[in-house]
Amino acid sequence: MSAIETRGLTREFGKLTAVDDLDLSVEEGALFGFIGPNGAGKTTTLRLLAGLLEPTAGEVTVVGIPVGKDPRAVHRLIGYMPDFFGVYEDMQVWEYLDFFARCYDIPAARRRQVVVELLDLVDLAEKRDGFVQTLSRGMRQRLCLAHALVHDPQILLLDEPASGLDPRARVEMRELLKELQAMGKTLIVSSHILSELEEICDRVGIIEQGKLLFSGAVEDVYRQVGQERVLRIRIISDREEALAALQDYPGVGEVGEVVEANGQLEVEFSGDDWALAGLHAHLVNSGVALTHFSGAVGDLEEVFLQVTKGEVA
Amino acid sequence: MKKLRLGWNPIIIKELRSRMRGARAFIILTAFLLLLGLVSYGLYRIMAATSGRYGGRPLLSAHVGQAIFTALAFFELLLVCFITPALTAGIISGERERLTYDMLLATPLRPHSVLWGKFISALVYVLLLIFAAVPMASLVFIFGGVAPEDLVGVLIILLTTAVTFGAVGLFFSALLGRTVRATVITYAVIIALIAVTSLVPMAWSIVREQEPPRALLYPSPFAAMVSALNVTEPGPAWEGPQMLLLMPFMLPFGFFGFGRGIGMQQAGAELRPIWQYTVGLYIGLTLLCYLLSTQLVKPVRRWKIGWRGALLLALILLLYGGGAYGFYRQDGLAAWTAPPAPPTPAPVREIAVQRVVEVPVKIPPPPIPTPPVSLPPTPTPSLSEDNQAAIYAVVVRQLYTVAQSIGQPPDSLVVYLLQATQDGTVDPRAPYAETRLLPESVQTATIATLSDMPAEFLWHAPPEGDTGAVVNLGNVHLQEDDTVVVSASLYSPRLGIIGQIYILKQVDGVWQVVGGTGDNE
Repeated sequence: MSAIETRGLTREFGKLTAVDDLDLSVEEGALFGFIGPNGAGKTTTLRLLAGLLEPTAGEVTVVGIPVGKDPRAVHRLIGYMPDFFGVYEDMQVWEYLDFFARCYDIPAARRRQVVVELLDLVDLAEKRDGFVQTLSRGMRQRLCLAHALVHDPQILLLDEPASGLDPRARVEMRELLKELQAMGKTLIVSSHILSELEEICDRVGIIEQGKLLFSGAVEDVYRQVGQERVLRIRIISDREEALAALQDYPGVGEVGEVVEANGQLEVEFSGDDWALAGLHAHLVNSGVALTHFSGAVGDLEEVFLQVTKGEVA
Repeated sequence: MKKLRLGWNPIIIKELRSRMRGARAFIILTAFLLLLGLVSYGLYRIMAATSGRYGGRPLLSAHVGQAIFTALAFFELLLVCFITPALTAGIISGERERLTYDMLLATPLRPHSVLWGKFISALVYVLLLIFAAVPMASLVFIFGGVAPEDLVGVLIILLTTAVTFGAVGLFFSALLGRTVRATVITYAVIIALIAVTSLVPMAWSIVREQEPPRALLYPSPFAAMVSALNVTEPGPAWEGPQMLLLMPFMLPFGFFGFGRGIGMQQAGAELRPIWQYTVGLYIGLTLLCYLLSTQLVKPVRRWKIGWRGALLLALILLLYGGGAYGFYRQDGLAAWTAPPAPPTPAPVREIAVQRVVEVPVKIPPPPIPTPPVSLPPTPTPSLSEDNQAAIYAVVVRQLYTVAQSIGQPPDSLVVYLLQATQDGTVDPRAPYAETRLLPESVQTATIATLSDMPAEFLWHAPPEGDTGAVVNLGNVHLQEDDTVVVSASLYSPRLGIIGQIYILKQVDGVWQVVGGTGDNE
C-alpha cells in the first residue's frame, strides 16, 4: 500500500493555483525527494498532505485513510516539520518536547523516556535544560525534527529540513534522515537544493508551478528527462574538424563557445545515454582529441534546470 | 475501548510554565498592586485631612472603608479593562506570527483545545491579578462599612468583565491574524463601548432633560460597578476632593443621575439592579466571541459544526434563552426603558459591620437645641397627633436599628429623645420649618409604640456625662403625594452621628419608610 497517495490534488489561493491536479504516490519505506524551485508549491503540497489545508479539489489518502475524513487519525500517523517555524520563548528544550508529547497524549512515564531518546537521536542531550531561544539554527532545526518524532510516526513530512544549515550541519541532517529511513519510516523531504537529496533519495518528484513534472526513481529521471542536455567538451585538436564531426551526429543542436571556461564548447544535445555514448565514440573515431566531455550524466541539479527550464520565474 | 485520560490540556501547562518565567509577569503584578495600594492610601489621607470641612458632616470609620472600597473597585476594573485585551489579543495571531501554529495543528490536539487552553491560561493571569488584590480590598474590613457580599458583587463584575473583554480580544486575534492589528481593534472596540455608554446617556439627559433609559447603561462595566456599589448615594464618604476620583466613572449617569440612588432598589417596582443585566449581556457576548473564534481557528472545514456541535449550540442557546426569559419574567421590558434613577429615593441601606475602629477623626457632640418653651406647640396641619406619633415611632425605630447594625447598641440602654424638633441637622437642603415643641400626647404615644424595643426611650435631654444616645427629630412635612418627609439623627459618643431624611407613606393604615436620602432636592 502506498504510504501517501494524492488524486487530482488542487489548491487555489484566489486566482493563484498553488497546486495543480497533482497525482502523487509514495511507497512505504521510501525516502522521497520533493524538488522544486521556491514558490513551486512544495510547501502547499506538504501542508495539504498533513491536513493543514483544505484542498480545492482532489483527495489525499494516508495509508489508505482519507485526510479529509479523519484528520486526527492522520495526525497520529504523520510527523510534520514546517519550512519556517518558530520556537516558544521561555521554554526549556526538554519542556518543548514534553509539550508536544503531551499533545499526542503520550503517558507521563513514556514521555520522559521519549524526550531522552529523541534528544540523543538529534544530538541535543547536552542542551536538555537550555532555553529554546538560545539554540543555534542547526540545533533548532534538529529540535524541530525531534518534535515531529515524539509520537513515533510512520510518515515524516519534512519541509526544507536542511535550509539555512552550514555544510557540516547539512551532512549531519542527511545522516539523520538516512537513519530514520533505516528505522522503517517513510520520509517525504522537500528541497530546492538538489545535491543534498540526490545522494539519499531513492525516489524524487519534481514540481513546478504546482504541476508535477516528474515522479519516479532517481535513475529514471536521467533517462526520462535527460533527453535534452548541455554538454561541455574540451578539444585540443583542430576546432573546425571537431565542429564538423559534431554536426554530423544526429541530435546535436546548437554549438557555442564558452569564453570564460578556456575555450570549452557547449553543445546542446538531445538523446538518451546510449546516444550520448555514441556521440563520444563518434568524436573519438573522427580523430577529435578530447580532454573533457562532461555534463552528460550531470547531477540532479542539471536535470532540474532542464526540466524546469523557461518556467522558472 | 479507548482509555479515557483526564489529562491537563497541554497548552495550559506550557503557557503557565512560560508565562510566569522572566520578570514581566511579576513586574505587572507588582505595579498593579502598588497602584491600587497608592490609591487607597492616598484616599485615606485625603479623607482624614479634609474630614468635616466639606459638607460639614463628621466622618465615620465606615465611611473611609466605603470610600476606599469603592475607589479600589473602580481602579481595579479600569486596569482589568485594559490589561486583559493585551493578554488575549495575541493568542492565535501570536502563534501564527511565530510560525508555531502549523506545528500545533499538525498534532491531534483539536483546534478548540488550543483556543481553550490559551484563553484559560491568559485569563488565569488576570484572575491572579484580581485575586491578588483581594487582600488589599479586605483591608477595608478594618475600617468597616463594607459587607462581604459587596466584595463578592465586585468580584463577579471584575471577573465577568475580564472574561468578556478577553473573549473580544481572542475573537479579533483569530479573525485578523496579526497581533498588532488585533490589539488595536480590541482596544478601539472596548474604548468605544465605554465611551458610547458614557456619553450617550449623558447627552440624553442633557438634551431631553430626563433620565436616560436603563438599557443604555447595561453595556458599560462602570455602570454595572456603580449599581453594585450604590456609590451614587453621596454619604460623607464622597464629600470633599476625593469625589473627583469617582467623577470619571460616574459619567454614564449623566448630570441628572449623579447623586441619586441608581443601584438601590426602586420603591414599588423591584427591578433587578443594572449590574445583573450587564453580567447577562456579557455572558452572551463572551459566548458569541468564543464560538466564532472556535470556527475561525479551524484550519479546515470551517463553519461545519456536525451534529455534536449543533447539539451543544442548541443547549447553549437554550440555557441562555432560559436565563433571558427568567429576567424578562421578573422585570418585563420596563427594565430596559425605565430611567436608572428611581423616582423616590431608596430606603436606608443597612450597613453590616462587626466593629468600628476609631479613626483619627474627632467627632464633636452635636449642639443640643434648647427647647423653646415659650413657643406654643403648633400642630402640623392635616396630620393628626396619632399619625405624628406613629411616624416618629417608625423613624426612631429605624434609626436605632441602623445604629445597632453599625456598632453595638448604645452603652446604656437609654435613648434620649429631644422634645424640640429641629430640621436641617441632617441636610441643610431638607424641608425646613420652625423648631417647635412636640405636644405631650405625641410624646406619650410615640414611647408607647416603642415599648417593645430593648432600650428605654425618654423625652428629655441627657443629663451631664451620660453616655446614652440622643435622638433629634425634625418636623413632619406632608408632601403633595401624601408622603411625609422627616429628618432624624442619632448621636452616640461611640458612634458619632448618623442621620437620614426619611420618606414615609401610609400603606394600609400603617406608616412605612419608603425611602430615605441625604440629598433631597
